[in-house]
Amino acid sequence: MSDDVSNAMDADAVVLRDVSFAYRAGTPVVARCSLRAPRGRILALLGPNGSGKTTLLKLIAGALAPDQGVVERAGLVGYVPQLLHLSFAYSVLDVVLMGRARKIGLFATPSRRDVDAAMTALGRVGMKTFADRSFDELSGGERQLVALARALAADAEILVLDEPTSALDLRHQEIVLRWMQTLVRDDGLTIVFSTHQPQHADAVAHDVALVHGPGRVDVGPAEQMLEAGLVGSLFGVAMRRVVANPQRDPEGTLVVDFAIARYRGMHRY
Amino acid sequence: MTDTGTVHEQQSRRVRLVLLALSVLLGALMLLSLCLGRYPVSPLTALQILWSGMTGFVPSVAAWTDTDVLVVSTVRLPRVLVAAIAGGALGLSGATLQGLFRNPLVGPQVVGISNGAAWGGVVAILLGANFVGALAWTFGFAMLALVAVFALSRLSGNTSILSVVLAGIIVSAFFTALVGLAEFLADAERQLPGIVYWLLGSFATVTSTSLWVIGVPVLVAGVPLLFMRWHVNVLSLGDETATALGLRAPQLRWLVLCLVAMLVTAQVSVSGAVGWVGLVVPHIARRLVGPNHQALMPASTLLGALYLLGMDDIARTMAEQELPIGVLTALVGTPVFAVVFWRSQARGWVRE
Amino acid sequence: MAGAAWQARTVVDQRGKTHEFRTPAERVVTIAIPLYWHFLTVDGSEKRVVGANAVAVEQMRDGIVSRVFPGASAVPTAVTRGGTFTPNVEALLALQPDAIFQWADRGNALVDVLDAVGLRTLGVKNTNAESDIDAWIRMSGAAAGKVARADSIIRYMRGGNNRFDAMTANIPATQRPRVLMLTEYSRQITPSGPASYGNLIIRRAGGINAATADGTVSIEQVLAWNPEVILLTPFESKTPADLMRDPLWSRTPAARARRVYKLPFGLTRWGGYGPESPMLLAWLTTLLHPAQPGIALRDEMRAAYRTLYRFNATDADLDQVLQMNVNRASAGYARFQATSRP
Repeated sequence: MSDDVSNAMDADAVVLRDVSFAYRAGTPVVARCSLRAPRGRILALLGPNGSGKTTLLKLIAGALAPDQGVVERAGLVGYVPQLLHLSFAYSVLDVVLMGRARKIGLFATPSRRDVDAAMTALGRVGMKTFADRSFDELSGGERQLVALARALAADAEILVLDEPTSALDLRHQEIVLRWMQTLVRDDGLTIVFSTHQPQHADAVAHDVALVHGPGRVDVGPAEQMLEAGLVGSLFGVAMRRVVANPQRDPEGTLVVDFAIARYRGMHRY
Repeated sequence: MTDTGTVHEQQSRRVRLVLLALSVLLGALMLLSLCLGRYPVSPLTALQILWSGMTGFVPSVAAWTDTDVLVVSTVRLPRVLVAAIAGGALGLSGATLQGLFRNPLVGPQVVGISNGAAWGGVVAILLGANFVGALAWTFGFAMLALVAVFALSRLSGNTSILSVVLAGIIVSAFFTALVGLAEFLADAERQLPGIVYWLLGSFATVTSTSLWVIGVPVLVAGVPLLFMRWHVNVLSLGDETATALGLRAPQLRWLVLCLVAMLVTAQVSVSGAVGWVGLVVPHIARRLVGPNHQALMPASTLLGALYLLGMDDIARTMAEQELPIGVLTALVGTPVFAVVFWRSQARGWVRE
Repeated sequence: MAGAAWQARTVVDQRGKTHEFRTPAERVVTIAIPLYWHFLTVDGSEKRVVGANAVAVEQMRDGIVSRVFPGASAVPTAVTRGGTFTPNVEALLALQPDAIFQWADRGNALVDVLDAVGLRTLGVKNTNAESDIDAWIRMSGAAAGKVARADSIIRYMRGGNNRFDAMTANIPATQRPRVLMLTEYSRQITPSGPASYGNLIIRRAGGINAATADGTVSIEQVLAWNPEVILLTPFESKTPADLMRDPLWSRTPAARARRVYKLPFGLTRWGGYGPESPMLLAWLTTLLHPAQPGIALRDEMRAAYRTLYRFNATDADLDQVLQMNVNRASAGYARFQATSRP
């Protein structure tokens, strides 16, 4: 799986080489992991809860430093945590402006240009009208979009999203997935996101990493990795694939089969 | 679709207006305070003295005595300035700490700084340290208390609101115990009165020297802190998020905490541990200008100055005796905080 | 007091408990601080005291008291533990005292623990009333078996009061200076207000108490009170000269007229009621009313110390007591010099 990791960086947005990490010595959460996220594409980290997806994402985003190995990034990373929780009722614009932290001097406050950039970022996820709303009045999906906008406001070229859809209802799952696709397609961003729902990976990802646990991460093209047998063994359940690829209706709306109900002992996705 | 940019501008205009109004109020209260006092100087005379002091203009028939001038310029002016500066320092400290700890229940006393500083001052008295030494001890222990509270609250792995408050109670109690031990061991004739006086604190003996003692550190720490106010927003997201957003969060956080400790040290050095200012004032400021620290920190500074100056005016004019300022601020602060606490709790119940 | 012989056996302490002394107490402990000094005065010696409060013992180290009672600063002090007045019961039992003087107005626990182990505990109180000090002296006399001497000391103190009450009775209010007595002024300003004993002293000496409040006040309040005489107690470390140099305090009529004085420090700090208070009244009356005839302070002091303590005070001793050096720049103080005679 790590044979072509040493390829030139110009094709890849993120490259991990033999990365290991442990919160407590002796119990590694990530062990000798190598993977790459090709530029302008979406990489999904698929795996059960507790397999180390979030830690891997934090290593990619630089929020954590690896104990061993190297993480290379070919651009600015915007990290979007799983649940954006605020202790204070900041406005949506305030929240998005914080994405500009890199660009605002320690003794300075946001300038007109920063506000414009934040508004543009909000526009890119269709949330411009929410700018003056209080963040804690938003729904989960809206919050996720604001978090996306915050990453965009930083002029990030690589977005790292931790479980962007897991806390959302179906409508907002679709909205967030659609914006992820749009950002990659229209703006040439690279997205790495984690999920434990195969159909979400199937819906948008070009590449999929199956995260089994420390020491075992298998990466490959989505259509290859999302084979029912592989996914089934990843989650330890029998699975049957229902829809091979997402489709678009004539208006451009994403059509995904979200049938995830248990069916005679089988999981369909 | 509303033009949100305009709404944003309207909001910042509103904030500017509030800050301007608070500044004007503070200026007015300072003038009024110069006219108040136990020594009879008519308000008009007090203002004329101030005017002539600033402009050098002396009317041909001076309507005041030398003592009037001294009372206004040497007694009231430093005291009014020191009370306002101390209040501003506490208001700013409180708003900053609440942002940094992501916790509306913290203030300089809750996170142990005040008690740490008080113990530092006691150590300085016991060791017979000089003025600079006393400041160093006070600041050192204020910082130590802060580090201890921070470390303790992190022990559990999560920095919940409760764990910070509990850690603060533990650290404060420890330093209070040390102070108690020192009071017991101190020389009753030479050291004990000094310790008791230091712990009590008061604006009653403020002189122009006190103005330097509090003014310089507050300027040195407060001005950079106010300039960094927007970054407190980012720090309030927590270290991990702030780091992901590109800040060197742990370093920045400790820098900010250092500056806060300096502010509180300066205030404690002049007037003893005054509670219920840093905790309460930011809540009122938040109602005026919202939670964004960019507006909240200046508003809290001005409001703190107004509040403590007002309280000190009461302390020095209500009776012939000086009323203890800490008792007054607690008397007013606790019910206000109870209401704030009750409201936020009630809100929390509706939401969750 | 004729017919007081029965008091040699029985005395009622200030909590109403009766104590009987068949023989004079030979092993006395004083936990209440001022009782050490009062017992020494009545007994005339430190030989019977086997334990005393550390604070009281410390006060015997310097000044003329260290010459009058040379052994008083070497008395064991391990009679308290924890708080200043909390008895160390085991240490006290080991000392086998036959009288303990202890505060009876600071919570019952301080005396109850002593009663519980059967130690004879004389409870004392201080309500700023002269009768309290009389009681201390009377109890000391009963314990030491020197009732007559105790009574004569009480008579001497009362005599001082009566003498100066009479001397100043006819001074009209317009001629009574406003006097401000300060426990401290530099760190915080703590006047002797209406509730203090200083209030009575000032009145007896023919003054008016400038302070109309007790507690801590501001300099502005002092300026509003406009005192014509300022007295500093020995608790204050700064001197009259310091006060008169201060830009604010120098505005008071007292400082302008240089009528700022440090209270004398005899065997104890002057300022309260006690064996030295007739001298204090003589001192203060002289300063408040310099034209008042009939007071020869140094002679009176010499006589009093000889009578009370069999102590022959030298001129240097009296200079020290009167704080001649500290008060040298104060108005009218030259009259107290050894060479001058009023």
